[in-house]
Amino acid sequence: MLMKVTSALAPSGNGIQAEALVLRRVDKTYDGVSKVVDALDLDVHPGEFLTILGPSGSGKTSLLMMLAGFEAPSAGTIEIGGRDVSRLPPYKRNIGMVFQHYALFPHLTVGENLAYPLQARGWRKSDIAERVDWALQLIHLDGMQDRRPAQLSGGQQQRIAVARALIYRPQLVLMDEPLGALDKQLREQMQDEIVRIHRELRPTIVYVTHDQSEALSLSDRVAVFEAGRIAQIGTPSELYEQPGTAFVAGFIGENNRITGSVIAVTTEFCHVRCADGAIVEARNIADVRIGDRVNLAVRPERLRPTQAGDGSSVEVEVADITYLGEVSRVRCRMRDGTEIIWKLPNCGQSERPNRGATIALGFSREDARAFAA
Amino acid sequence: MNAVSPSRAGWALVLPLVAFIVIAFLAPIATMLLRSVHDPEIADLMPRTRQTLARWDGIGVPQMATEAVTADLREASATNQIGRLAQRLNRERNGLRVLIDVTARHLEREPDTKLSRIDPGWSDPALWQILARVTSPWTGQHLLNALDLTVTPDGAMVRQEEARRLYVDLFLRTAWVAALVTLICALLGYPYAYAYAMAAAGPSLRALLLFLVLLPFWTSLLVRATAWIVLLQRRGVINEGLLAAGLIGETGRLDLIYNMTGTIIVMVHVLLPFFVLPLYSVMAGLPTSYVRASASLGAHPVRTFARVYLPLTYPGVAAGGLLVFILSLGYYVTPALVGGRTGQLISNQIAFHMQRSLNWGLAAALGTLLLLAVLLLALTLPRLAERGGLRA
Repeated sequence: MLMKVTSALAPSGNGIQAEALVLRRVDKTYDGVSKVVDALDLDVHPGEFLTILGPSGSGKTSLLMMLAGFEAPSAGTIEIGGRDVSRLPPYKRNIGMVFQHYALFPHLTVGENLAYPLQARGWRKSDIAERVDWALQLIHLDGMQDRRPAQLSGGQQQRIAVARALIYRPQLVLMDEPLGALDKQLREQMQDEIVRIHRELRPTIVYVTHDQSEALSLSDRVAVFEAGRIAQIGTPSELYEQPGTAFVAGFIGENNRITGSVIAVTTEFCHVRCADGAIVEARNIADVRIGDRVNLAVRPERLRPTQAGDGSSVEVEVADITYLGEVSRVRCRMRDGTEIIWKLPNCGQSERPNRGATIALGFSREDARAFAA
Repeated sequence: MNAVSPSRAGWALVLPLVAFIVIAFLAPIATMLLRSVHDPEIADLMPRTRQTLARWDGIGVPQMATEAVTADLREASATNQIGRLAQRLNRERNGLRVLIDVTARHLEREPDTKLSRIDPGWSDPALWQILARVTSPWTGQHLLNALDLTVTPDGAMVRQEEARRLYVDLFLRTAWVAALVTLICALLGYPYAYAYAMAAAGPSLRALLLFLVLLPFWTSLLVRATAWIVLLQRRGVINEGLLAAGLIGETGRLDLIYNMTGTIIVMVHVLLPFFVLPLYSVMAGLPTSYVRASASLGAHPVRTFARVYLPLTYPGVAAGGLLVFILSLGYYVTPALVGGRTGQLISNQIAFHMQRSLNWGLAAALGTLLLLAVLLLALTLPRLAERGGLRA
């Protein structure tokens, strides 16, 4: 069966592989003044899973609406598979789209829902039946074609919505927070399902979400959106390990933020006097100068207990300890009141600090990143 | 617990409304339903006859009842009720008024004369059949009349003679007109509701569309009818316009009002909002994601409309259509004003029997049948629509 799947979906062999999606200086404004999407450039490779990650209001939904053709860009061009689609209506774009609330047609059966895009493309009846069977097998819902969407669970409905958007092998599949309506456990199952389908069929997917763990676990690359621009684009580990801006550092994963001012600079690193007087060393990634005020970002799991004055370290008072199983989450406070989170791995014998104790937490200079404040 | 329980407080609050509904709505309807089968007028005027004939086997001329009739007629004369009785009986058979008047006057002069001597009519067994039937306070006669049926002297139920068949045709005509009005409302109202639902972008256009659809609601029925008369009459705006444009000749003026055409035109105008508003509410409640999903899947807007939008708005069409159809079935004022002679519906006939012929029993029977038809439709149609999968 898998053989049939792969052969049915082998990429068309015209030799030239254009980028799946190219955006050039795309603007979107609704009032002519404030830009919801601002001079956006973006390239998505064929077969890539790209996630647009951003808080609400960052412009990611407007971008998706422009990709689908429900909104026209105010300026710039959008190319899908080498074809300029900026002014094409949605139904001529050969895209697939998965909506947050599934948007399965409630008056049609599962089979009719899956057949819908094929009928719209004028497929022959026998071919449609064959492909619908194939799609149902792909999502492990064989034999469900005569059910109505309302008779299925949320997870099943979303799988059908995914299959419906993939069944005609569109050049680009857009997913608009497709797991937003599901509960946590189902969401994780569906993530695995989407990853599996992506591995099997290799469609180009642009996935929009505000959930950073979803973005990290699903994507080949993630574009972090901030105020209509891409703050940073890269693989999940790049974004996590080397956030380029304070916003990305704060948005992806958890990060401690310590304010201070620069007192010495080398090519790659800088020394920073923290608000409470401690002097620490950090990566200088924002090209800061002596005297600049900076924010240091340090991951909670990169902290370790140490002796005061030994390397980069800060002195904190333990405010609160939460036992979480594999880690303990220790909430501390620096003398100036800055809150520091420390994730203490549970290795069996590690002694946990007492509440109210004053301890020193150290970190290597590789793990602290200094951003201009 | 010294506080009034919330449910009891709730009941106290709805009590005035319940009382109002019972007094102003349920009680009159119950009275009307009862009147269609219960008619004690003759029974009260001829109590002895009623008692005697209740025991009669229905064959020949019941000699035992003649004394009772004599006594009842004398009493009716004495209490000045004979005119009423004569008129009432005449409705059962033409000529009975004369028979009763003659007999009563004769009995005043010679109280002990035998009935058959006064008038040979009293020897007709059919007369006694009628008397036996009408002196019973319970009667199916009005319902039979309303269905153009009658009972022969030997008790068989047959259709009325052709010339007296009125009501079945009228019921059918009313249903046909209601269906036609509903269809026209659907053809005019669906695009209108669609335009209204799609006009989300321009608030002023939306307000204008709503204003236009509600305008008929805010205008007096008489004003509207008059406006239509001005437009549609033989020397009205439309005929003069067509004439001026050379589309019709002087002899070809169109009869647009005071007939069924007028009734239908004005009814559509009055009932259109009842179609548009429920349909609009369904359209407005339809998530845009269905239409967008269809477009994203490659469907041309025409296909999207036919396969997705239209089926998903059927519940609104069904709701609006049912409302218009049921309202049309009972429509009275508009046909009365602009229907002329040929544009009358069943309600106008009911009004005629209430106000002119004073045959309340028949009016009640016609009303009962109409009410039953409407109830049947209101109960079955939504369920049929549901089974047809029209509920999204």
